[in-house]
Amino acid sequence: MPAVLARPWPAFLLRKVFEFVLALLALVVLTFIMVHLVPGDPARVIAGMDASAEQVEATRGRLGLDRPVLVQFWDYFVGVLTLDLGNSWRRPTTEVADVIVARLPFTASIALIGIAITVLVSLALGLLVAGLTRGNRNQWLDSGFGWITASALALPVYVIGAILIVVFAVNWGLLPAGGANQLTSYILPTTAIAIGPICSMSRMVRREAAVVLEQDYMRTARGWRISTARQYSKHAVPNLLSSTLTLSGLILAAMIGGAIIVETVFSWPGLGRTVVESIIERDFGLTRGIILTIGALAITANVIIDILLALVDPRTLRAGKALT
Amino acid sequence: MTQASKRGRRLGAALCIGALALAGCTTEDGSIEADGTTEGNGDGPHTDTIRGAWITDPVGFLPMTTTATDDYRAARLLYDTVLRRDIDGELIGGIADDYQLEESGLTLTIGEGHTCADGTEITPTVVADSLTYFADETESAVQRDGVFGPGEATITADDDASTVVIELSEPHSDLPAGLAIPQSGIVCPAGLEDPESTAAGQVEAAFSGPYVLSEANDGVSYVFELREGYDSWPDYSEELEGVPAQYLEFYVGIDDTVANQLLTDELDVAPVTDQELDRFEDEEGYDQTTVTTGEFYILFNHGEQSPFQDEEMRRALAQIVDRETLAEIVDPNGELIATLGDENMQCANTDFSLLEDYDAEAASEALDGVQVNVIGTNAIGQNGAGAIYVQEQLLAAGAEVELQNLDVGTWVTDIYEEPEWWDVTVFATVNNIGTISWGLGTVIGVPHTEGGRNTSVSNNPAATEALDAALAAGSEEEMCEYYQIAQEEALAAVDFIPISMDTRTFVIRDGFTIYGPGGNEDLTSLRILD
Repeated sequence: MPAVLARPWPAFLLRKVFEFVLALLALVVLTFIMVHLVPGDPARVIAGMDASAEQVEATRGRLGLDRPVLVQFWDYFVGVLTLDLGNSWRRPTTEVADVIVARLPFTASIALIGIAITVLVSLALGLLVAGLTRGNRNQWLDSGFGWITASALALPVYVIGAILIVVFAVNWGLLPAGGANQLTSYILPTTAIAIGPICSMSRMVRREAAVVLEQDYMRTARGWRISTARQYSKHAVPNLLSSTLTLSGLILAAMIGGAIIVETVFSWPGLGRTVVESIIERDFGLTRGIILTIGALAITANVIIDILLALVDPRTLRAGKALT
Repeated sequence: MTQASKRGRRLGAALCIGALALAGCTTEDGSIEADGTTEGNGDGPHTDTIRGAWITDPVGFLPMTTTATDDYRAARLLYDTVLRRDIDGELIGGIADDYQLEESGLTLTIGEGHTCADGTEITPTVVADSLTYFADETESAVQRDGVFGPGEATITADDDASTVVIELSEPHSDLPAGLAIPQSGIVCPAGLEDPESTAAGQVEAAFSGPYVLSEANDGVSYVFELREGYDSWPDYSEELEGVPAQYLEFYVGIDDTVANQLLTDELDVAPVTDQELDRFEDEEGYDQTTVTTGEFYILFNHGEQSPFQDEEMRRALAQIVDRETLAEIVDPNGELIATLGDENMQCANTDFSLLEDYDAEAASEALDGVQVNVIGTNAIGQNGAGAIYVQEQLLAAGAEVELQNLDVGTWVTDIYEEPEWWDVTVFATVNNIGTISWGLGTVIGVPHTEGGRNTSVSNNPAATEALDAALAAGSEEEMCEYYQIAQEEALAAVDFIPISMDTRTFVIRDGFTIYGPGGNEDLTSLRILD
């Protein structure tokens, strides 16, 4: 083994690259198999109910579904390797890559805004509650916080979305009910996607912060009359970052995948809504391209979080494995 | 003041500022300024734009190769047809001033002054080239046989005489009706030179209709702009109130969210699902227009393995189906029908006495203990309630029933490719041509397994013969005579059970309107009212 690989960072990065490639390969195989397991004949569905048997066969030929499965897989695999995801099965003049490029920003924007809001609000809320309830003070706040966050966590995202639409769009007329036609269109989907994660993350931050705030160094800081803001920003928050980052990585991956529901509720033109439509329409060229992209993004997000964790907390390097 | 209460006040102030900032993004009456052109409810519109909704992105913009609802919508806006439907459903002139139906086909007299979007005159040669392209596109034009029939079509132009002659090797009396559908839209020469780019909506000179595609945002919206100087509107028997919009914006979205967007003034007109229509009952400022898209009926599998190969079994099922109840389940707005078309359709049977009366007792004797596989789709009735109703009725009659309620894709595949898995289903045609033969062709005639359209694979020679004779008829009178025989024969043998029309209801904000020529959806009839 080269000496350089004995060092923690190169070994860690090499392992991450290996895991990344392995996961991508599995994803390519799974996306290919998956579309063949979905019931229904894509050629018949795409050709339409009015199509004759000859037209259905012509569509099958155009899609390449009349070729042996291994040949189909090889073409798909080579396509992925050369970053050519082919054309939409339903819309032959439209490239899958173009659809992804057009719709990814919509999904990415609500996921990234959602995770940013989640981290900021959760840290602030968790620290605030931990601070106010330190030393068994304000027990009503502790109970109320626990009860409210647990209740909100129990609500599925489509229920939260529907409530937000009814209240803020239909009844109060403050915000758009759906679509992505204006800047204010972002508010409800990002709120809906962030409420659940805020509840779970703020509970975790509150629990961790309660422990941190009782540590000797925090007592010392208070004894030195350091301002509350400085106590929290310099001493408490850094000790909460490791677990927060770990959880936010998982949440971000879940948000990208979970966008399917939010995008459907809010008629949001992102990858989530598109993948649902493509499955219904049996446009499997588009389906696997999008799932591959979403999967690759989730894997990439996890790798980045692992690296960030290693930077923040080098113990994860020495442990030989990052927390995620 | 304690530290905690100070913090509380600061938080409250921040929330107030946030709420005010949010409110500042809206108009005085609370409605959203989508594009700065529309004001809220009550004042009426002061706009040159109508905002609507589509369910999906169009498959393409080459009319003859379109396959889905939103494709047809786009094709109607972008391409004019040689014939059109009048408000009452009669065929009237479009690009053609007149037509003459003959035994071997049809002669069109092309009108003057029709132009393509690039100013090219639409001559008989332009029309003939476009229709020839359609007739030759046997591989991907799914309505080709519906328009021209199964035989060869030879189309010739005479620019001096301003005529186009369509000769068919096999007579097809649906030809005039077929020439009025969006798929028969006339593609201008620039479009035929580059069909692929035209299908992608990139050749503006291809368009012959009132609008051009000015913006296409995949998955988000499509904007159509009225052509400057366009003056080829159909000569309807009644004047359409209002003015055409300069811009038509269609947002692509989920049909379940459309009702919300109408209620929040984000949309001006959109089709709304039956389940959501109740929300507009007590709302002021909205109107509704219902158009038909096809027919609901009970489709039997007449194949060997099915109990419904037996006419008495089909009759028994007809006796346990309360058509009014089933119609209410599948489409509360659809009228009951006595054939596969409503009473306004040319040559439609209107004699309801030809249908079986409800007689559960008699039916039980035949159905008791019979194994029946019902197949359904969640698209017919809420969550597949149509098929569930049939299942319940069969169970009550003593049959042993297995029900599969599937998504549309799997259901369609099973119907056509897995006949051994099903015996009966609640079916719906999308009657693109708008003729009796289109629906009837799915229950009588050449089976789909032998290259025809008969999905039920029924064997009814008398009905089939009459259907063929109707399609070969040289006059309307003769055609209707044969169609009546075909319908009577099919109903007597209970080859199918007609239920009701399949409808689509548009909800329209005050200040806008849409017409349904011949009961069909036609977005070129969208108008802004003063």
